[in-house]
Amino acid sequence: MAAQSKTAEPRTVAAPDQTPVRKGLRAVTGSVLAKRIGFYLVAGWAAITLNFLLPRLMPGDPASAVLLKMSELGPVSPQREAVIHRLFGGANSGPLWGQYVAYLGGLFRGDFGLSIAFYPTPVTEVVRSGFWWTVILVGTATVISFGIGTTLGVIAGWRPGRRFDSVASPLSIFIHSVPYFWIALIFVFVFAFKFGWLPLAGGAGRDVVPGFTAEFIGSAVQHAILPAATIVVTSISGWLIHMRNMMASVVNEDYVLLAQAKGLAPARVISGYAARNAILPSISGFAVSIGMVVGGSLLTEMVFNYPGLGSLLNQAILNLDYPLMQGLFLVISMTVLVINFIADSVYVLLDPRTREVS
Amino acid sequence: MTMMKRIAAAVVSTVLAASLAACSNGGGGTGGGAVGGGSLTVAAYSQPTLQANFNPFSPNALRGTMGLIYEQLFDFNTAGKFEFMPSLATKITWGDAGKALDVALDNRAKWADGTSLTADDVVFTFDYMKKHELLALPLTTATKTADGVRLQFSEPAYAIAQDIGRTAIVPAKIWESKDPDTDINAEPLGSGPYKLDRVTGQQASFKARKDYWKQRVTVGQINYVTTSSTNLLAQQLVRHEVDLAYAGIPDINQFVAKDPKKNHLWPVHASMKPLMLNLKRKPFQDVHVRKGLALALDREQIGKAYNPGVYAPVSPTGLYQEDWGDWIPEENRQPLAQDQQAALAEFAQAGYHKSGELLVGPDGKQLTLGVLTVSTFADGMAYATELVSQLTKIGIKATVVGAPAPGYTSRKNKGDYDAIYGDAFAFGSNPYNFYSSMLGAKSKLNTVGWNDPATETALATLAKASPEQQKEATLPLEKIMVDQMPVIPVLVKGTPYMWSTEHWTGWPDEKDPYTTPDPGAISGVYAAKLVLSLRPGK
Repeated sequence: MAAQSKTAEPRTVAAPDQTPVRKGLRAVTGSVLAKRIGFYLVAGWAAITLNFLLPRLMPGDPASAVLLKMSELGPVSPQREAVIHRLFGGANSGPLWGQYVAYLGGLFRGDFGLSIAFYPTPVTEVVRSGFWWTVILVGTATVISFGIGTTLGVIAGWRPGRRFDSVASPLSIFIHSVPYFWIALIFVFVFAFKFGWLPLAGGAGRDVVPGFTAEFIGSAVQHAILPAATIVVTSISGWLIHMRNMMASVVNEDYVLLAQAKGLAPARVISGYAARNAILPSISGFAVSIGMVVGGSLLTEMVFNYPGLGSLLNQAILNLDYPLMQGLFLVISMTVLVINFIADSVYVLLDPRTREVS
Repeated sequence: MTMMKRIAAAVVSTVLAASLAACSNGGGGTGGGAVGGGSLTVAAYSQPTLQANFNPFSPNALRGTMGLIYEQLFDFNTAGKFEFMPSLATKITWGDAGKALDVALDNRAKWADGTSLTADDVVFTFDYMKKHELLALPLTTATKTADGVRLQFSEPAYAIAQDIGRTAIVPAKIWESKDPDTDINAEPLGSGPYKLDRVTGQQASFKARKDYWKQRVTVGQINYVTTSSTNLLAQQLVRHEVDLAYAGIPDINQFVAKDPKKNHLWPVHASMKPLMLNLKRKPFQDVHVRKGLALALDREQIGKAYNPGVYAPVSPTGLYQEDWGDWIPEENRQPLAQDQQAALAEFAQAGYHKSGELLVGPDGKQLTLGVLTVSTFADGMAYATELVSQLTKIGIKATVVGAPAPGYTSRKNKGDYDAIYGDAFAFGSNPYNFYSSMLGAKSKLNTVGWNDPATETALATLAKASPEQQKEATLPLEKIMVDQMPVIPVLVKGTPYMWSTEHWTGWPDEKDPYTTPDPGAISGVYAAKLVLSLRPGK
């Protein structure tokens, strides 16, 4: 949102100043990149530390969680309890400071420990098992909905109040306000259950071994259609409304009027003049949502029993699996930081005004 | 937040009801996996993803590790008449006043590689578990005998016979060099009727072994699949994509109503869910208050709060009268009936009386009671809500305190509650574990903190009682339950096993309860018995 206001008000461009003092200053600001990197390092450290602290704020301990599950199934003898505490009690013992140092040490070695929910599978392996499912599904869906939503927004905003706008805009506001899982459940019910066109749930056919085989990819695509469609349908409207509003304000700008007055083709005015400027805030919004892709769409994955990171996060929380939670949070927060860093850098290329400033 | 949850729950159940009601015989064939022909599909997990783990010593071993791949020694049929169920062991004989158990092994038993499963493997397994601190038994030695092994214990082990029997035997030659704490045992070699086919993240499948030592295996392939939501499970069940499931789906009876010829529901009552009062808080340490509360409850009505017929009212001893009838004295066999007059009389003895509509104590304050339960379990919330509404009727200011599982556990462990309605205690093959976990001073599950010398004595006696003496030795504990109500028995918890005969027949049920239709979550002996008894359906 910060990026949005940055571009909304055109910046006053300072006249180039050639005094030695200014030169020195520019040498420092020339290291804007260094500053940025410094900022991201601090943010990274904060994220790492929060990753460590947050799971520990949750009440309960992993051994009790395991025991609760076991006592549902049959009598748990005191000796059996002792065995469980020996296996899982250590996950959250010792002074917090010591745990923190051990955690940081583990990070540097790329060792996140062993998951508790999937004990004794290492956290890295568990995270890897869900990573691509989520990235491909949610990533593709995000790109598609951004593409469609923005295009429709351009059309609606070019002639605000006309027929297309008066249908598309209220409709997207309506869809935007419907809870996601409701749409997902309806889709499952209609397309998978009632008509049986698409599979009910899962990432791929349960029989199919994951790998680069035609059978697996075909099955995975078939399984991805419904969850991806629900994400697209529900998130399209956000992009549409946003783009439409930006577009509607840009079409009144002088340069658009001038372009029209000069007799340029409407298509060229829309794409080269109006949309190009209107899309800038959407780009930074897009960067944020790409960063969020890794966080998974928890609800999507729950409804569709999808084997991605969201499902893993859910399992980690239910089992008080601190190592897995740490691993997942870290992957999520690091992706957000990295993508934002890239977006920050790319922004300069997209917006000539930011180049002039430096 | 709770409003949102309520809306969510309403939406889910509406869609579910619609899907159950509107379903038209199966839909298309593009389901998740191939069913029919030679495979049995079981919804064995409520989690969305699996990681390979076939280590029989790991608490996270995937279902199928026990029963399909590794075999246990023996078990008792808790769904039936507690009869002995042989597996690797054919017979057990107690000796040395319960401190020794002779286990006769089936000498036909073979590992999947064709070598014999011998007493050496059994002795190795016990020694190995002991060495790695995995053995939850007071075992001192395991030695070979002419026809099997003799297990020697430091104290009479009658009461834990079931735990002994559920030890999975592993081949010595493979496990000698393995670490049971960290090995996921990705390529298991066992003696059971199946071998691992593959794990795909959402399913673990097992192929029948042609050379299984005991008998021919009829079900060619078994798929244990993941189903993360009950809504999805209901749809899969109706479409017969899943042959067996045991999760508490909402409106469970609709599943049977959909296709009564093929769809079946059999609730197996394996545990008891009491109302537990915090005995460290006033006024719940007063037995009259506890009795008053016990008499204020209409158990029949509480049992109907969620899926009617799955839970059932239980006798005041805590034991389920249908299964344990001959263990309970005649006068205590019937569940307590709701009796408001009697309840008020009990409350009066504790100094509580009706003042208008309210039940107030000597200090003039209304009796208040927050009932802690796990908020994420729809069924648990429904039962707790009905229970609370009945206490409200008698003038108590009762409320449901819902907390997610971790918060529930932590509040429970800290003793931060008035009452709990959430924990269940499993019966097992004799009442020792049931009573000792619930009432034993040292038990971690004894949440209420019951600490009573008479109970300890009675438990010690029951622990040492031979199978013939167990009924007699259980009576003092039943009396303590009835007279002092350390916890208030309310309902027995039914596990709703649901199956369809679309692909397989020969399932156990009320009429022929030869096993619990369990995929190996409880016992591998149950699971093996089940899959070896199924026949192709028509």
